[in-house]
Amino acid sequence: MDLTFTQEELDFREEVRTWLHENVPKEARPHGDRPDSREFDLAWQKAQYDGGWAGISWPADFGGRGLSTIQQLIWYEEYALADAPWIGACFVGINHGGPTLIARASDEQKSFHLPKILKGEVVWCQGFSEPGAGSDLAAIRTRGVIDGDELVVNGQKIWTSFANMAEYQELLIRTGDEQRHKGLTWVICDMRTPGITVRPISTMDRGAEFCEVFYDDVRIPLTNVVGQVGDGWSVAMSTLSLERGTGFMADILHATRTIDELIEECRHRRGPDGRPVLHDDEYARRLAAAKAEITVLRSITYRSISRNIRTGMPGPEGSMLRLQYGDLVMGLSRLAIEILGPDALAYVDRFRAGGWTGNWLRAFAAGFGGGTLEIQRNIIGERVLGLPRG
Amino acid sequence: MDLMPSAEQDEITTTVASFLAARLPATAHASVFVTPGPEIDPVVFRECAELGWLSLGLPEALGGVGYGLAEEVMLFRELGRGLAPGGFLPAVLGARVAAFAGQRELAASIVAGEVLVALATRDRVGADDVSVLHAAEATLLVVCDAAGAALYSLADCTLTPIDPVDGSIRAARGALGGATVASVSSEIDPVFVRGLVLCAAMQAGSAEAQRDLGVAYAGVREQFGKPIGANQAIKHRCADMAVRAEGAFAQVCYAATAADGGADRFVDEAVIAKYFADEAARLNGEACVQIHGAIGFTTETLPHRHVWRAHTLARALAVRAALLDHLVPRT
Repeated sequence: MDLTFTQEELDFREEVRTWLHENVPKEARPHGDRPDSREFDLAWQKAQYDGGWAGISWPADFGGRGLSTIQQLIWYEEYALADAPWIGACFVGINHGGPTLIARASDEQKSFHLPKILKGEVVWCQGFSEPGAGSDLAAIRTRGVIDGDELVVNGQKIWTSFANMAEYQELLIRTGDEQRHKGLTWVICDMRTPGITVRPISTMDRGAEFCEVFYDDVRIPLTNVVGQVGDGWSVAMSTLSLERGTGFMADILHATRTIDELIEECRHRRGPDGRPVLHDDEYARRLAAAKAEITVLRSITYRSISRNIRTGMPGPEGSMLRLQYGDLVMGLSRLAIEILGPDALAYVDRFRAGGWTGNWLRAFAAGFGGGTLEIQRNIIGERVLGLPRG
Repeated sequence: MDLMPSAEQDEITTTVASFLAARLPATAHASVFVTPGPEIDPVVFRECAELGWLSLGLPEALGGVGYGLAEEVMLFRELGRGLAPGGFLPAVLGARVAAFAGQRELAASIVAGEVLVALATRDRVGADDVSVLHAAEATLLVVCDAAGAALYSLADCTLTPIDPVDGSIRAARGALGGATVASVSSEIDPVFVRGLVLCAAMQAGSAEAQRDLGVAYAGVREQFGKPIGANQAIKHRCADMAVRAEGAFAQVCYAATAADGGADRFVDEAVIAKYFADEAARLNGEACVQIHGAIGFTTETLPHRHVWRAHTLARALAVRAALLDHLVPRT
C-alpha cells in the first residue's frame, strides 16, 4: 500500500492544474432549461480539445490524450478542485458512444465520428431504454427490418437525455426473431433522419434534457451498423469503461466540497432556536457522518482503481461505488435543505450559488441513473457474493 | 499510488489466518457467557509474541520487526475476523509507549508477552474515570488520546470488574491512579492514531466475517423451495453488508498508509476509519443476525459473538459521538 505519487505524476498534476486554472469557464453552466446550455457544453469540449485535453481516457491512436489510469485520476481530482463544469450534453459521446466506437466500429466509422466528438462538434445521445425495457434492457422491442441496404426502424425509446439537441444516437434495436439478448443490433442513428420525433419530458428539477423518441419508418443505412447485425448485445456490453472508475473522483471531490461549504454555512446560519446550526449536536454530527462517508468513498475508489491497474479490467465493485454514492448524495442533499430552513421554500437551480433545492431535486436521479440502486444491489449480490438469482 | 496490499502484506494475512485457525479457532462457545480461566492461553499468547505479532510495527532500533502500520493492519484485521481473544491491541500500544519513552526493557517484556497490558478508555475527555478491557491478568494499563499516551500500573488504579457483554474479554471500570510508568506525546509517536486504525482493522475484519457468514447462510438455507438469498430482501441486505465491509477496510488501508507516510490530515483519516468500521461492524452484525433468523439469536452460531465484540470495540479508545465531534468541531 502506497499513497505517494511519482515526481512525474506530481509534475503532471501541476500541468493540469495550471491549464484548468487558465481555461475553466468563468461563468456558470446554464441550467438545462436554457437554450444556450448545448453551446456552452460544446464550447467547453472544444476548449479542452484545443488545449490537448479532449478524450483523456481515449487511446492516442484515436485522437485521445491516452492518459494512464493514475494520470486520469489526477485529471479528475484537479478538474473538481478547479470547479470545472459538468460534462452535460457531451457525456454520451465522450464516455459511452465514443468508447463503443473505439472498441467495435469500422475504421471508416471511427474516422468519421471520433474527431467530431472530440472537437465538440456534435452531441450524442443514447437510445437504449424503452417504456417496457428499463432495468430489463434485453426486453427492448423497437424493431429494425432490413430493406435493401437500409434498416427500417419503428418503435420508441425513452429517458433519452439530450435527444432534443443531439446529432447522433447509439441506437439498440431488435432485428432478428430471437428472444432477449439475441437478435439485437447496435446502430448509429442520425437524429435528423425523417420519421424521428423527439418529445422533451420535463423533470422535477426543471431539467429539460430528458426526452422520448419515436421512430416511424426511419431509414438508416446498413453501413451505420456497428459490429454485425444481430450482435448488438455484445457491442452494447463491450463499452468497458476506459476510465476505470477514475471519473468518480470528480463527483466525490465535488460532494466533499459541498459538505465543507455546508459546514461553513452552518457556522453562521441560525437555526430555529437562534443558535448557529453547528451548535446543534444533531446537525453537527450528521455533517460529520457525511464527511466520513464521502472520505470512505474516496478510499473505495482508490482501492478500486488500484485493483483495476493490477488486473487490467474494471471489477464489479463499480456497482458498490454507484450504490454508496447514490445513497450518499440523496442523504446529503436532504440534509442541506433541512439546514436551509425557510430558505428551502425557494427553487434555486443547481448550477447557481446556493442551489441547494435544485441539487436536492436532482439527487432523486441518483437512485436510478445508469441503473437503479436495486439493480446495483442485485449485481453485488449475484456477481460479487455469488448468491442465487431470483 | 496503490491501495491494494502488496504480496508481502497478503502473506501476513495468510500466515495469521492459518495460525488462528489452528491455535485459536473461533467457535460459537455455546452458552458460555463468561469464558472461564484466563482470557487467552498464556502459552498461545507467547507463541504469538514469538511470531512478532506484538512488535510488528515497532521500529527495529527499538526492538521491533520494523514494519509499518499498513502491515499491522493486516494482522489486526485477521484478529477481528477470527474473534481472537487476548490483549493484542493494548500490548502493541503499550510497547510503543514504553519504547518511545526510553524504557527498552519494559518494552521488550511487553512484546515478549511476559507483561500483559490492559486498554483503558476515558469515560469523558480529561476524566480519570475509565473503562478497561483485558483487565484480568494485566499488570499495566495503557490510556491514550489525541495529545499523547501513558502507561499506568494496574495495582495503583481502582478498578472493579464488571460482567461484560462480550464474555471473552475481561472488563472493569474505575479510576486511574498513581504516577505514570511511562508516557509519550503524540508528536513523538501518535499512539492514539495507531490504536484507532488497529481497532478499526479488527472491526473491518469482523464486518467482513459477518458478511461472509450471512452470505453463506443465505445461500444454503432454503424456504419456499429455494435458498433465501435468491430473494431481494435478503440479497440486498447482503449487498449492503458487502459495501460496508469494503468501505471499512478501504478506509483502514488509506488511514494506515497515510499515517505511515505522515500525510496531511492523517489523524482525521484514522478517526474516520474508526467511526466507519464501528458502524460497519455493528450494522453488519444486525444484518447477519436478521438473515439467520432465530438461530442467529442463539449461542449455537457465530453471529452473536461478532455482535458482542463489535459492541465492545466501539467503546474502546473513542465512541461514535467523540469521533464525529473531532471531525466537525463546534467552533
